[in-house]
Amino acid sequence: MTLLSEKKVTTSARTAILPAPKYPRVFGAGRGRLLQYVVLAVLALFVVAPIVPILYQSVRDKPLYDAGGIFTAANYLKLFTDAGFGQVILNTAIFALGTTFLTLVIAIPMAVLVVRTRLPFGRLLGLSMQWPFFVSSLILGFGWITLYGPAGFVSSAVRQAIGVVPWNLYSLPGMAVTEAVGLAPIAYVFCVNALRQADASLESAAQVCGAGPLRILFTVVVPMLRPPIVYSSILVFSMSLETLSVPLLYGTPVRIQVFSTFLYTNGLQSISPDYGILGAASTLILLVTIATVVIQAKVLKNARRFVSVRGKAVRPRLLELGWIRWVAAVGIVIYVIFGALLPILGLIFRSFTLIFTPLQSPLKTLTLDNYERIFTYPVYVQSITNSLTIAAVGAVLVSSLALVAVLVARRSTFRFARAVEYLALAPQALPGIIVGIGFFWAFALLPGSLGGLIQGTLATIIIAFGLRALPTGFGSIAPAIMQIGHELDQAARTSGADWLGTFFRVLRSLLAPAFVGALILTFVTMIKEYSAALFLSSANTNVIGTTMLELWVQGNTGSVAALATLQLAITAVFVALASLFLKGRSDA
Amino acid sequence: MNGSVSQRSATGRGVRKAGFAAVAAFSVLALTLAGCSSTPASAPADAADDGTGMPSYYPSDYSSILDASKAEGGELVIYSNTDQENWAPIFRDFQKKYPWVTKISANNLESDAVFQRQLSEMATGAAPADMLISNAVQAWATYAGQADTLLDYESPELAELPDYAQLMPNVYAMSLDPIGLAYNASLMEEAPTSIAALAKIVAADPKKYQDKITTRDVNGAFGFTVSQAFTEGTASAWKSLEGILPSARPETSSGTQLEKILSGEYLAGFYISSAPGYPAEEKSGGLLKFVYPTDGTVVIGRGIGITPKAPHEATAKLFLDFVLSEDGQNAVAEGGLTSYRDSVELTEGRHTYQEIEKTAGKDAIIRVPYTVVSDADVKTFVTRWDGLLG
Repeated sequence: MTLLSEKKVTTSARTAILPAPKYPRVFGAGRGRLLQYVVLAVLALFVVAPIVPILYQSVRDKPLYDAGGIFTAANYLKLFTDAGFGQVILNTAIFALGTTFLTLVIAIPMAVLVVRTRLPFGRLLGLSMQWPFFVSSLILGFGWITLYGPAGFVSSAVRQAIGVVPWNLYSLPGMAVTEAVGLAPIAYVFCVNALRQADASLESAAQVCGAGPLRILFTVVVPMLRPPIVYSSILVFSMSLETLSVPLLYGTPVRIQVFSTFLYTNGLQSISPDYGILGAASTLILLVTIATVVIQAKVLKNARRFVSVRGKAVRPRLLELGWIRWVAAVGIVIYVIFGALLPILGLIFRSFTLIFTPLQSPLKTLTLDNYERIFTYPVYVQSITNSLTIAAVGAVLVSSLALVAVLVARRSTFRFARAVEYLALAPQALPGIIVGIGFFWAFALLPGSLGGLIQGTLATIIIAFGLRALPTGFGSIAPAIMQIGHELDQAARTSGADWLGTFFRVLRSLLAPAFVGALILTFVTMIKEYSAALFLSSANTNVIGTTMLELWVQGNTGSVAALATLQLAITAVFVALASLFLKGRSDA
Repeated sequence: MNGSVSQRSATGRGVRKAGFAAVAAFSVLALTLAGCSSTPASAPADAADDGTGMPSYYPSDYSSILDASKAEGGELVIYSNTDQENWAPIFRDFQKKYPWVTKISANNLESDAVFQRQLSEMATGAAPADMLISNAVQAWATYAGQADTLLDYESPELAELPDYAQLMPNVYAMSLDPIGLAYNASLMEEAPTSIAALAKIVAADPKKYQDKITTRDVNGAFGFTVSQAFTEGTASAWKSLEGILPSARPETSSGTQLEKILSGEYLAGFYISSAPGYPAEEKSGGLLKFVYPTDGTVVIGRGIGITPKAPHEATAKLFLDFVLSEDGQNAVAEGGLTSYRDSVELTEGRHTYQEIEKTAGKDAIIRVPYTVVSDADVKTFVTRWDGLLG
C-alpha cells in the first residue's frame, strides 16, 4: 500500500509518552495507531452486533426469545428444498444484474458528458440527473405505475395513439429499469466526484499525441473511472438485492418473486413467520455480498494506476464534442423528463388531489386535505422532526466514521486495514429489516440497565440507519482518496507530520468535497430509510418512512404523496445548502 | 415493506371535514388549528351513577381499580397494529373520563410484530407493554394459546355485549371490521353485489376481465385468514373462486388494490378491508363503489387483551372496559373502525356491525374464529388457491 516503513511511525520519541496498555504492541503505539484501533473496534462492534443474533438465529429451530430452541441445520435445508426457491434466485440474479448494468449505462455517459464536455445547460442537466435519488423507491415505483403501468397516464395515451402498449412494466426488465433510474444517481455522483478530480495532464498528453475529443473520452477519461464504477456497481448490486418496494409493487400482481419479496412474504408477512428461514436467507445474502466485496478488492488491487491528483495541479479543460453535444443533451433531457421529472411532478400533483386516475381529470378534486391530515396528528409531525434529527446527526457521525475508516483502510500501515474496509462495507449485505431485528436483540441483550436506557430512543434508530448508510459514505469517499497521490502524504510525513497530522494538514482540504458529498449522500439515505425502523421504532420514534408506510397501507395515497413531497422539499433545501457550502470550500 | 397490513387501518373521517378544498393558504399553523377545531365534541356519559361515575352493572368494588389506576402514574403503553387516526377519538374520550391518565403511547407495529416483540421482551425480562391490540387472527390465537401470555380479566361490560364480543379467553373484540368488494363504477356496466355475481360477470366476458380483477394474496396472513374464512363460511365459495381467480392478480394491501381499481388498472377487486374502502369510495366522487358481498362478508374481530405483569395493570383494565362501553364503542366508530355495540348510533361517516347485517344480510356475515389453522391445512389451502390463479 505504501512506501512508508513501520519504523518511521513507531520510533519517534514523542509517541512513547502515549502508551496504550490495552493493545499489546511491541513498540509503543502513536495516537494515529490508537485511533486506528478505535475505528476497528467501533466498526467491529456495530457490524457484529446485529449480525451475531442473525447468524445464531439461522441455526436455531425456534425464535431467539424461545428458550427451548436447539441447534439445527433445518433452516438451510428448508430454504433450499422450498419449491420455487431456485426460481427466486434466478429472478434475483436477473433483476440485480440488470439493474446494475442499466445503472452504469445511464450514469457513466451522463457523468462524463456533464463534467468533462461542453454541454448545453450542463449544470442544470447534472443537477436534475440526481433527482430520483431524493425520492424513496416506493414513491418512484408508484409514480411509474401511475404513468407507465397497465392503466397509467402515458400508457393510456400510447394505447389511444397506436392501439397497443409496447412495454410491460410488471416484468423483471420493468423492475430493473425503474430501480436503475432510482439508483443511477449513486453511480453518477461517484463518477462525477472522480471526474472532477481527474488529472488533466493525462488528457493533455493524449491530445499532444493527436487524439480527438472522442478518442480522449474512450481511451483516457472512461478507463480512469474504474474505481468509482466498481464501487458504485457493487453498491447498486447489493442495494438491488435487498430493495423491496419496486419488486413488491410490480412483482406481486404477476407473481415474480425476488429475494427480498421472498423474505417479506415468507418471513414477515407470512401466516406463521419463520425467523429461522429469515436468518438463513440473510446469511446467504451476507455471503453473496462478501463475495462481491472480495471481487471488488481484486479488481482494484492495483489502485495506484488511478491516481490522478498529484502534487502539481492542472485545471482540466472541457472537451468539445461538436454536434454530438446536442444529441447528448436531448438524450439526457428525455431521460430526465420521463425517468424522473414526470413521476416526481405527478407525485407533487398527486399530493394536491383527492383521486388521481386517467379516468377523470384530477383538477376536479384539488385539495389540501392530504397535507391537513399530516399536520393534524402530532405523531405524523413528530415523524418529520425525528427524520430530520436522525438524518442530520447521523450524516455527520457516519460521514466522519466513514472518512476515518477510509483513511485507515487506504492510507495507513495498520495491519488490520483490510479488515476495516470489509467491516465498513459489510452493512451492504444486511437487509434493513434484518438490521432492525438484529439491533433489537443486541440492545435487549446489553448488560444491565444500558439496554433499557437506549431502547426506544432515537439513538437506536440513528445507530441502525447509520450502519445502513456507512457503505454509502465509505464508497463516496474511497474513490476520492485513491486519486490523491501518495507523494502528498509522504511529503507531509517527511516534514515531520504524524499520521493524523498528515490528514489535518494535507488531506483534509483535498478531501473536503468528497466529505461533503458523503454528508449529502448519507443524509439523503437516512432520511429515506425506513425498513430498519420497522422493528426498532416505538410510538415516539417514528420516521417519515414508517409514517408513509402507515398512510399507504391505510389507502391514504394522497397523504403519502404529500409526505413524500415534504421529504423532497427538505432534501432539496439541504442539498442546495450543502452544495453552496461545497462550492465555497472548493473555490477557496 | 409497503402495503403489508391493510387490515389494520382506517381513517378518522370525523376529524377532517373542514372545507379545505379551495384554501390556498399554506400556513402549517392554520392547517393544524383547522384540523383540531373540526373535531366534534363527543358522546354523553353512561347513565346510572353510583358515586364512582360507573354504570350500575359494574361490580361494587370497581372503585378499587380506579384508585389503583390513579396510583400508577397516569401512563398506558399499548402495542397494536391500529392507526393513530383510529385511536384519536378513543384516547380523547378515555382521557376525558379518566383525566389522570396523561400519557398513552400506542406503538403502531406490523400485525405480527406486536406479538413477536411482546414475547421477545417477556423473554428478556423487561416488557413495557400493558395491552396488546391486533387483528392478526392466527398470530393472536397462537400467542394467546401459550400459557401465561395474558392477564386473567373478565370485563363487566361483557354482560351487555353480544356473545361474539369475547374472541378467546381474556381476548375481547374492540371492533368487528368487515371485508368487502370494490369496483370501478365507470368501467363496469353491471354492479357486482357478491363474489358469485362477480364470477358470473367475468364468465360472460372473460377477455375483458383477463388480469383485470384483483384479490388479496393468500400467502400473507391477512389474505389467508379472510380467504379461508370465506371458503369455510360460503358453500359456493370455491365455485366462484374457480371462475374468478384465473383472471385475477394478487396484491398485498387493500390500499394498493383500491388505488389500482381507481386508476382503471383493475375493474374490480375483493377481500378489501372496509377501513380504507369506505374513505376511498367517499373520495372517489362515484368512480369507485365499495360493497359487502351478499354471499359472504368476512368480519374480523380486532382483539384486545392485557399482558401479564402489565406495569399499569389497573389503567389497562379501565381502558379495556372503556373500549367495550357505550362511550368507547362510539369513539371506535368515530375513529373509522366498525363498532358492534347495539346502542351505537349510525350517523354519517360511521360504520357499525348492525349496518352490515342490514345491507349484506344476517346470514351473509362470516365471523372469523380465533383458532389456529395447522401448517398442513395452510399449505393445502394456499396451494389450491395459488393453482387457480392465471
